Amino acid sequence: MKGSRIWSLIVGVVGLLYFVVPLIATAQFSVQEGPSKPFWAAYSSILADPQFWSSLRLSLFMALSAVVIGLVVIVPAAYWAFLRVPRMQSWVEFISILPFVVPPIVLVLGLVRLYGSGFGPLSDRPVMLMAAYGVVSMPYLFRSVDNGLRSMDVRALTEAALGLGASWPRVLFRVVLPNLRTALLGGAFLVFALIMGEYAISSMLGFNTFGVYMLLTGQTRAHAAAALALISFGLVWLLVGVMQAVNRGNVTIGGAR
Amino acid sequence: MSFLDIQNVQRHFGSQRAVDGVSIAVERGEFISLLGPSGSGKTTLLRIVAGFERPDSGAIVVDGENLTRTPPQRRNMGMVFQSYALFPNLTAADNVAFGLRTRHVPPTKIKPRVEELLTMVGLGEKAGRYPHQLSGGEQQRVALARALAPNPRVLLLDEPLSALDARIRVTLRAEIRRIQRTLHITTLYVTHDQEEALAMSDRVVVFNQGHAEQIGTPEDIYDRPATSFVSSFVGTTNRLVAQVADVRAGLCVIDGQKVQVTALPDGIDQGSAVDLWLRPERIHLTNHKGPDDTNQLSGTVEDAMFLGARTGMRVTINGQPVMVDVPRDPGYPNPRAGELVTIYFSTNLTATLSNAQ
Amino acid sequence: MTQVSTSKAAPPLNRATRIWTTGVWFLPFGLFAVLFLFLPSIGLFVGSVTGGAHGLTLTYFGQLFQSQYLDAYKVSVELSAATALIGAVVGVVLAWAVVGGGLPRFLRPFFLTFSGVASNFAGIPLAFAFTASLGPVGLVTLFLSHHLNLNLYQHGFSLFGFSGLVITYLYFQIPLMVLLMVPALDNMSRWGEAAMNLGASPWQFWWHIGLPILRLPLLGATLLLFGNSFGAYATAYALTSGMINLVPIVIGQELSGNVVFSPSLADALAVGMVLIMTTIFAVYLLTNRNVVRWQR
Ligand SMILES: Nc1ncnc2c1ncn2[C@@H]1O[C@H](COP(=O)(O)OP(=O)(O)OP(=O)(O)O)[C@@H](O)[C@H]1O
Ligand SMILES: [Mg+2]
Repeated sequence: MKGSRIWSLIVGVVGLLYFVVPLIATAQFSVQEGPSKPFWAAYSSILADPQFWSSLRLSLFMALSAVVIGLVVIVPAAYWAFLRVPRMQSWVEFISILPFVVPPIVLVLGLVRLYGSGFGPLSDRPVMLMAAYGVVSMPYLFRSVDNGLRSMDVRALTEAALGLGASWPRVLFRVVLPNLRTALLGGAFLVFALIMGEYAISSMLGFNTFGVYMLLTGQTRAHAAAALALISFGLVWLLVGVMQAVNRGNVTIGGAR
Repeated sequence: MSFLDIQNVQRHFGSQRAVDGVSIAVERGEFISLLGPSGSGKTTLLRIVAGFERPDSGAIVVDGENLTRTPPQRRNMGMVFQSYALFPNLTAADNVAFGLRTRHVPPTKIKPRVEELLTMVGLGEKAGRYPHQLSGGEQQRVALARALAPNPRVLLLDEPLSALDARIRVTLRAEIRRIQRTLHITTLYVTHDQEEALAMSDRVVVFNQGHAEQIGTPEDIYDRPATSFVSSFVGTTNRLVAQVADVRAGLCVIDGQKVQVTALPDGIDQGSAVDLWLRPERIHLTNHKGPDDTNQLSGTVEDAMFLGARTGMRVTINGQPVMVDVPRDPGYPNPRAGELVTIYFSTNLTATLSNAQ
Repeated sequence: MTQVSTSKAAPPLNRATRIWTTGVWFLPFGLFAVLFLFLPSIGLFVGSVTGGAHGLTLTYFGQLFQSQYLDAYKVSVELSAATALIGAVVGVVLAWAVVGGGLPRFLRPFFLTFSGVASNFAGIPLAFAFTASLGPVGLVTLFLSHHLNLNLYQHGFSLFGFSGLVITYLYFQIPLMVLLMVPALDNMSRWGEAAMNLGASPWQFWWHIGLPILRLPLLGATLLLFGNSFGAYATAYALTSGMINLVPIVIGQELSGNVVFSPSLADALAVGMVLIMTTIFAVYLLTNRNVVRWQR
């Protein structure tokens, strides 16, 4: 009993060091822009950089589109499978988690090869980026939709609403979606965390997203890059924190590798 | 000298007093239930006895041996967990054999012992099944057999039937009691189901907020509750507020009507208020009321409910509601709502406690 | 008469309506998956077996076995295996330290939140953070050389090589393992108590109960970690400036036009990745199916 406690303590402390030291080092590096400059120089230069804001806006917009696209695609299918065609449930689930098998770099390669040119709107780069992000976020959104559907009595709610004379769109927008809201929020924040730092897809498609901006900054301004890394860590913490609060302590798993 | 001695055990979690000075002396072969509301510390006490929790103070003594600092592995107590905690990777037989293997019982002796136990709980044919292939009731039986296999000195059960449906519960509780009697094994049984506790036990310990309110036979607990908590927690009961008229004679009054009781709380003064506890089924109706009759109270029927064999009535006596439960006989119709009635009850059935107000 | 005729006319109509309504609900999902997931993947496969003047050919898959590309697969697999194994072992130990009661209880929520954040903190910023700590002028590097007289870079360590990548990847692999294993380990403590009650030593418990129960979840989680690192691109690219021979990096070079080689070869490389990931995923699904059965 005593021995195991000591071991746990040692493991805990070593783990803590490994996870905290890089953050400390980054913080320390970010405040040493130069001897003549104030410690916040790196941060103020970033915040004053219009590119920082435009890239952040672009990434936020793309994350939002991915969530919207993902939901438009997944909610009706998952809902209908849950309600009427249980046979389809496992198929919807299987297809939704399939993107795990296709690494982002492979996905973007496939999209560029197939729709690179001559497919009208499908060949637009923004459409490709949104589509790719939509695919990447499918597994996470599916899981939250599925949890949401399971935790409420969809069938009874739907039938009650239909019995009161509601039309299908009304059932979907007034009954199902509002009740899915908290479950969806969890998945949405995870997708935000994932897409805010995404690099592979957007760099290949030639977008200046937040991830690409970070990399470009790192190539020229090391201290600013450290500051960006810390800002990004704070952003992820915020998103995961909100997600956890929404999901009542359940951490879901994802990330932009 | 009792066999299992729980001596003034205390356990705090932060500021929460989960177990607050409990002493229970259990005789060899006795079946004792720990009964109490949720969060009253029953599980915590059981886990202290089993050795999973350390008491802040107090001692656990079995057969004269102080086990307070003994690790759970060497206490030789069989425990049945509320969730059963059957090992999912082992068959029913291997689950039962586990405690024998850890004690290095020779394999030739393990096999017949496992068979014996599984037969005893009625699962002889299902020895090769894995826990997920068994029903809840069957899992519960395996858990019991597993706990009994190493011949534990004490059997501990933490709400073993709470996950099962009502019908199975009744069968299984009789079976547990039968096995316990056969093996004559000292048993602590945690439950929050009073019917279970009263039906199965030699003695019942009523728990409230970490301490034992009363320890006694089921009859004691039901008929002579020691505190107002016990009387309100066990069974349904009426509370009537009365004034003490004569301490020596045990006489009280409600609205000028006299009530005779067997014992008043110690140190009570004339004129102070007391609670009288009356079980609905102990109250009868009468047509004869003399002015000096004690334990007869007049009131109005507010409501009468048809309950099949009996009638449940709500009678107001001087503004105090009293539930009355009387047999129903179509030949002698019971009073209806709005009628005046007189109720009576025997003196020795009445328990009195100091007023909580 | 009328009744019969309506009942005869009705079913085909209902059936058609049913198919149509069902179709409407599943259409966006199916269309999206086909357009942006299935067709691109199939396209890659087609590209890898056609291409150039060869017609239908296995040339490009054959080229995967040339030393350069074989090496890329080898390094990718080694990197993923190393980070998956180390991450799995360390992650389980850490998770048990928290769940098994060795560490104070109040640390648990903080620890889980941190794991959630760290497992999501990857890519470019992670590379920066490790450059700031273990790069040639990183905080830890300088600390070690000033105070302990240990110059990492003179001893052959480089953050921008294989070992550096392993250390960096572990930053998201270990927390991921923790998150995957905490639920399984949480269940473990009740079996631990049952075993103790039956007189088992910790060793007996882990050997006969703990490990057999955890075997499949452990395998599943380790496979997930493998896949997690196998597809990773941004972290490796940012750390090594694209100078390490990993399959995603090689594909990226072709795609961004930095290094020009045959498009069909890139397709073949990508198909190879998908095949490996599919295998991993299939094994993962198979193992997890059994786990679910047990835990009910
Ligand atoms: N490990 C613990 N840490 C903190 N508090 C605890 C712990 N275990 C129990 N408690 C607290 O101690 C009190 C008694 O808990 P216990 O589990 O013994 O109740 P119980 O009588 O078994 O209730 P139930 O009938 O619901 O099982 C509760 O208020 C509970 O919150
Ligand atoms: Mg309990």
